Amino acid sequence: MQPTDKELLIACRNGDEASWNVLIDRYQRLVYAIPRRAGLNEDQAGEVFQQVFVTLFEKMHEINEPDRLHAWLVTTARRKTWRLLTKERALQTANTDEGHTAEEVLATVVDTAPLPDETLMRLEEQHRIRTALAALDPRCQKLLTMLYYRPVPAPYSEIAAAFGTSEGSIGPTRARCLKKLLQLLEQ
Amino acid sequence: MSIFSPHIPFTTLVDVADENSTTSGEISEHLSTCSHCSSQLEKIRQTIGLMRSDTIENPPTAFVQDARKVFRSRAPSREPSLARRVVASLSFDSFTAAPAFGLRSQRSGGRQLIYSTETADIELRVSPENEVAGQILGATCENGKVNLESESFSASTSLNELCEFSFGAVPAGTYKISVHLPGLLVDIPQLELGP
Repeated sequence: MQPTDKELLIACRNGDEASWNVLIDRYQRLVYAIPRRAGLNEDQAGEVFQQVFVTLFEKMHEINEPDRLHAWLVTTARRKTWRLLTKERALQTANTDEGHTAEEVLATVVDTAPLPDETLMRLEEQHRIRTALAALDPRCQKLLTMLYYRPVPAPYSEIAAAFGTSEGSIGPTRARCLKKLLQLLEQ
Repeated sequence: MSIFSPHIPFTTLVDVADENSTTSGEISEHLSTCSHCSSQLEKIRQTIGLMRSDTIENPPTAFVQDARKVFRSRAPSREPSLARRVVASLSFDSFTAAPAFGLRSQRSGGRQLIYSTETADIELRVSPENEVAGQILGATCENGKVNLESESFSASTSLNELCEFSFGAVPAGTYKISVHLPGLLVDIPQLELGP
């Protein structure tokens, strides 16, 4: 049974570094995906990534709804991404707009959301599935990864060899694993 | 769809969602009238679709390591101010010890190490898969904790009532182990775990 976000956050507040690391493992892809999907390059996305976790550390005692940590992280990542994007645009404009400081130009930049809601919702759903997948037994994790997380699904012959089983048993196992996954997603 | 259930079996729905089989007329007809089965099929399709389209990249390892360090560098020290800090020295390593007369070398199995301080000994066992376990001998260990840390990995666990601890398989690397005991912090500065 995986610890909930609330349990992890409370443990972090009590100084448990291992729980902090679990939180990072759980959310690293989602937090990094937000600036990347918004068009920031690797270094800029890294800056946002670091800022989000520094902010989480600094504010972890002020988060009133620890079980909504997921939403807090998404909002913070979006906000940091937007700030960086806006700053970048302002600086670019300032370079070509003589006579105005970057701050003056920054004040005129339109507030545009960096990510469409639809893209964000999709990212969050994919993150939810990844989290549920991590709670499955290793056999199911491996099978579903081979089937659905590869650019080209692994052929049944390769899966059967990897599991030391017959190709005929893969279908029922896949169904059993997907059923467990759906149950976890509905919890 | 069977004598036990009026619905399509889950395995069949997965086949349909995964396009592993052509949908028979009977199944299509049932899906068009059964909201339970059609909604189940939709959920399976959505989930598979989301997994297949999940191209979210992993952040570079350096970013993750930096984020991990945020806690270590900013958290106030949890070591009791009066705790004594000692470095344990290696007193036994089964990898370097000669096997007893009549016994074959045990290198193919696990490795056993014993680290000693004036007040406590730490017995470590490392399996071929780099599972690390051990026990603290000769010291009280109430609320004790063991941290295992390398450049790229860190983990922490509590000591049980027998002063034992265990970690799952850890990546190869050079590790520092810290054992937090009441009033005492024991460091094992360097432990090499091979691939």
